[in-house]
Amino acid sequence: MESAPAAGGAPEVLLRLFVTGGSQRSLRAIEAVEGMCKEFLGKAVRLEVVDVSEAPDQAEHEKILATPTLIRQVPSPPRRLVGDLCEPERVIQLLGLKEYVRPRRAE
Amino acid sequence: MSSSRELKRLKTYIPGFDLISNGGLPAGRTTLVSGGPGSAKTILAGQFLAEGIKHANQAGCFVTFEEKPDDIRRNLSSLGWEIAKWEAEGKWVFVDGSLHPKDEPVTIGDYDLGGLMARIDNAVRKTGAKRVSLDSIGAMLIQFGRPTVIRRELYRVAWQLRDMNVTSIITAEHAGHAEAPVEEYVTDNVIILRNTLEDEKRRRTLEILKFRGASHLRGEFPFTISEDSGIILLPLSSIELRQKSSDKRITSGIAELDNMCGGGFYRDSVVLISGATGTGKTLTATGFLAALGQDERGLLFAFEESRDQLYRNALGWGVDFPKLEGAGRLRIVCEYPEVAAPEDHLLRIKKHIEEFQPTRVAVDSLSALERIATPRTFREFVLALTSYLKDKQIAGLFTSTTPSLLGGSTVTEAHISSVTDSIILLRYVEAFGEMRRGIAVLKMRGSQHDRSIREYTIDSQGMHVGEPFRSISGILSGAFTHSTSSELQTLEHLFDRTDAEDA
Repeated sequence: MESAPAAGGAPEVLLRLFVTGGSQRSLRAIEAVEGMCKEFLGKAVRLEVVDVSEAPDQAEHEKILATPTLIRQVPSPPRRLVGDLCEPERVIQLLGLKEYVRPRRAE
Repeated sequence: MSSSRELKRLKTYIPGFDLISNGGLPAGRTTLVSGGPGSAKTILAGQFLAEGIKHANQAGCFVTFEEKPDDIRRNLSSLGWEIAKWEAEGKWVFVDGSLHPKDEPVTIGDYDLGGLMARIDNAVRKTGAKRVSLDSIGAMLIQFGRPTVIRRELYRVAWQLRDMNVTSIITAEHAGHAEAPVEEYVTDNVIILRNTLEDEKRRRTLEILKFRGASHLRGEFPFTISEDSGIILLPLSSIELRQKSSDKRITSGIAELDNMCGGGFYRDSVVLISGATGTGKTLTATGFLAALGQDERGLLFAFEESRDQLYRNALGWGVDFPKLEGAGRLRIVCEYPEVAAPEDHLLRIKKHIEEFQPTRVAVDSLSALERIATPRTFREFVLALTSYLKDKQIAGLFTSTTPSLLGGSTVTEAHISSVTDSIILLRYVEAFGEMRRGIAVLKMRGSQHDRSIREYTIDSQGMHVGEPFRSISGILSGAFTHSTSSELQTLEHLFDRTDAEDA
């Protein structure tokens, strides 16, 4: 379950999105984040989607309380956002991803 | 007992709680525990799990939002709970919902607590937990800052816990006397913890506000936190009147007093000795303990005098306390009332009784404990002690000091006279320019007794009871009239004791 895969090697940016099964909020968040990656970010960004009901141990490890939660895992230190994340520009800003935004984007 | 429509209960094994809740928490449901800061919410949440592990081998899951699991493990271990060991055995599991301040999440848009639910579900599945505690909502609200969302989500958490067939506790902050927080409308079952300052004394209480579809006792019940076992509720008023009563008599240590009582005290009765200072209360207690039968043991709680003083007094009346102690037949516990709260005194007294297994217990004096308690707490203390003694079929003798030399009653008596089985009054009597002493049996439950007021004297052999005062009335009120006075005067003086004394 990933989009914009970086071919082999460690990606420059790793985002992990924790969602709950097929809830409306989660579907909205997946759509929003995938859309954001496609539209704004380059191949340097890898996105992993984790369903907490299928991978509770991973949720435990990351101490996830709320879903959807988006974590910028790489580069460290990690940063977290909670919510349905439907404002891509704010997400990019809050996760500090401005430098990865594709240059073709109109200013 | 309980009707078939009543909810099933889960016995908590928290001392006293199952009694006031008529059998425990509603099984498979969520109960909200609401309380102010320092009201022992976290202890209750932890104890709910600990008692389940200790007494019913039920695993538990502790979800913490405020403190780190490390801190909780350490803090609660000081109450004697081996949390680390239980964790290793798979009986206790933490779900850590606490956050580093720098981790504070930024929210964009709507969210739910799906992560939390998945983790609780996972932990419960892995350990087979039957009990879950969540501590506390307040910390969650601060983390996410969106009360409406959190409340909606907690409602869902409660439903999910119900589906998982676990019995759970969620704690919440309750600021003072403000109206009930919204959380209270969300759960069917609400318990309030209070930690209040009453007449300069700390008082902890637990109240079951509601259990939907399940009965429970109403009102606030005081509790104490014992250093080695946590919360202990003192469900005082609930244990009255269930004692079996014995018709076996024992001697009071004074033959004439036995006669006045119709043949001695009952073996499982509690007697109150009331009198002003110097009327012989400690002597009566001493005699009571010295009159131990063959297989009897006596326990004396002295709140007014030191051990040396007690020894000396007793020896003055021909009773050798050190010898009785040496023979293992007597234990004397001397304490200042001020060293502990009434609840703690009660615990200590019970502990001594458990250890020593006495057949007679004397408390000299009960009124000394009144100094450290509010009237309500004091009454509860006396009730609890009395019930406990009767339950154990121990003969109890409490002394109570009246503040005025002549006549009078104390708050002590007003509070506890209905609780004790017998009341014996020791009074000064002014007769023709002389101070004499009179003894009367005011009440003797379940038996005939001498209704006269008799004169008594005290010498090196102890107390001697003589003839009734024939020509003096008004002794109990302290407003004496001699036989020449008219009935009318007596009646008048009955109700203006203080004036009569001042006159």
